[in-house]
Amino acid sequence: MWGYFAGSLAVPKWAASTEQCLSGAMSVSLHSDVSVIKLVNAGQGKKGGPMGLKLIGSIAALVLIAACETVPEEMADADGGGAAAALGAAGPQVAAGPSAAPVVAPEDAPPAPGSFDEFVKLVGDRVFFGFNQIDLLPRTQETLERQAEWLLLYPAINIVIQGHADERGTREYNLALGERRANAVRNFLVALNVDASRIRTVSYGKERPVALGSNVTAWALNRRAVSQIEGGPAIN
Amino acid sequence: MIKTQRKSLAMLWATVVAGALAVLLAAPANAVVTIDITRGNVDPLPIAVTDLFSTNPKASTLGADISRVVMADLERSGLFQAINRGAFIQTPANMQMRPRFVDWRTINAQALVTGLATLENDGRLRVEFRLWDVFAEQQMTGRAYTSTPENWRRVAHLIADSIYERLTGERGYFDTRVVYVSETGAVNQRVKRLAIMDQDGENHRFLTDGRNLVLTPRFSPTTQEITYLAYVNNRARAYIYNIDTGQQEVLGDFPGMTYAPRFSPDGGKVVMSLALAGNSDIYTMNLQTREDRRLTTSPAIDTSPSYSPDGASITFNSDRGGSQQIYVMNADGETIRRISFGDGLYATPVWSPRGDLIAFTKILNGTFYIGVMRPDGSGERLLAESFLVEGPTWAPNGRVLMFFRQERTTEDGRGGDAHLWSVDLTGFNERMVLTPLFGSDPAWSPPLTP
Repeated sequence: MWGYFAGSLAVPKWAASTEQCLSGAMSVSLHSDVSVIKLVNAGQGKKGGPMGLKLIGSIAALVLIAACETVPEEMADADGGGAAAALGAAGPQVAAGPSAAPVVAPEDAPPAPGSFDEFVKLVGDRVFFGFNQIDLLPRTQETLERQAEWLLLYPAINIVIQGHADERGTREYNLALGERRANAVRNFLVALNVDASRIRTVSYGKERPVALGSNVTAWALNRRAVSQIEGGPAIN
Repeated sequence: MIKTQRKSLAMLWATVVAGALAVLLAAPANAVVTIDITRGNVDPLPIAVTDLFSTNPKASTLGADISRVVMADLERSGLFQAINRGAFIQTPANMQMRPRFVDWRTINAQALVTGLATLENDGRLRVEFRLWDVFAEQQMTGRAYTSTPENWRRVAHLIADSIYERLTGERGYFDTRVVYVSETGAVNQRVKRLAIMDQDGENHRFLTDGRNLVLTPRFSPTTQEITYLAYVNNRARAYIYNIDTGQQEVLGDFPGMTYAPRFSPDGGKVVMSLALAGNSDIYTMNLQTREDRRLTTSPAIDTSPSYSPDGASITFNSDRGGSQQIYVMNADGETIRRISFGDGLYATPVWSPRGDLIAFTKILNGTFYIGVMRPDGSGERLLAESFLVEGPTWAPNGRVLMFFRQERTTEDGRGGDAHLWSVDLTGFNERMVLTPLFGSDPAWSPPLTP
């Protein structure tokens, strides 16, 4: 399964779109989509496979990660340690031998195809919204197109879309708003041929902020919809 | 502002309190009081609460405890000023027949509370109290209660209610409880539990263990039940919690999120929001038949429904007009009209138990307010403001509101403190309600004794 990633010419969008990540990296617009880099152990990562190809893949992925990682500074702060700490905690995906030349750090290996990790890091598990808005901005749609493509590749995977709001609204209205946002994402994915029965939604309103701080940057990062793989680790 | 000539307390306090908000009632002929109703503030009435007297040491201790709780209740209302007992001239022991009023006038007491505590042969506690008008030199009310000694706090609250009612003309709210959400931890990993306590913060206990996120509890007006929102297995649904048995039951089996639940005034129904395909509408569920009924059909957000006390109308929150505002409709969902037209956004409408006002949360220029308006939207008054205040709930007499206030959070995760507060309908006497941990989403119970 994962061979398509390194070997196939039909490179999926999320692997090819360095430019997207870079452009995302340069934009610190409050409403921009940013790819959240938070690594966890891939619940569905496959073991084995041609190591060489994997390493080549990992180099490419590193470029991507480096690009995508340059999200607004506030994100790293807010995540409590940010991407670097998360990477350290993730554990290596590639079993590097004792004598392996340290060309690249083994812990920066690409996530296994079809893994939760890949979905979060390379596809992008979340999109962002303007204040009191549910509109899907162009960059949001690009992220969701990657999500749809990935979900179509792995039809056994179901997701829960969690809708969130910032702290500047009342509790019940924000629950409604989060539900609307989750559903806007769901509708978009369904329009891209993802089977509706694979997608559940839940709203957390303002109950599960990911970014701390009562400021506009944190609020922008908290107005989000996160696509979470059913059975995968919970990531806010 | 009141100027009371010291002729008689007589019954003017009722006038004072009611007058602070509304019409000056006809005063008893023997009293002379003038009230400036424009300020809405009330100079607290000086009251002397003596220890309930007993020759039995155990009953004597209980009597003193009861008096202390009565005094605290009355003082917390902001309408009474308890006179320091160090100033008392006459002792409880020697005034059981009749107080020596001159002693109480000397220390400027206008009202005086005396009483007796007795332990009966069957072990029960009998308490009697009398409320005296010091200047008219006559008893205003007197009652006796018999209960188990363990129940002494409730006896104290009932006495405080009786005094409050006699002096203000309004029903007391001290023999009540508050259910709320206890919070602990940083805002991004906050643990929330349902908790319940007496209105003065005593007898606190947790109802849930914090494993599941819980929000927005509300009391049944008729049973020992609470309806609230809980997240179980990543699903958000309205539940009912039985305080006596601890049983929790999901409310209906709906295909979407059910939230913002609240009982109807007769306790027979729960009105709530159901979100289907991202759209929130208002439904009722009959608790007997379990039949649900859809009341709104707008593609907009319709949430935070609250019945009028007569059950004929429902106020709710909607953005159907393009922004978040307060609406009122008939209980069958007909005749929807917007009532909030001030600047800013309006949310969380809650109908007063008296029916005369709707409390709300307002958001204007980045500041949150707690306010009240009449059911037709007129007479808006703001009572509290902050970075974040939200979720007003009414004391059962419709005179006092409780809400919560949350502080800002810093980028390193400090702050975000949330506390319960109460405020008088006049906007005065705002005070924090002490809870063991942080607190939010308060809901006031109906009177424990109907």
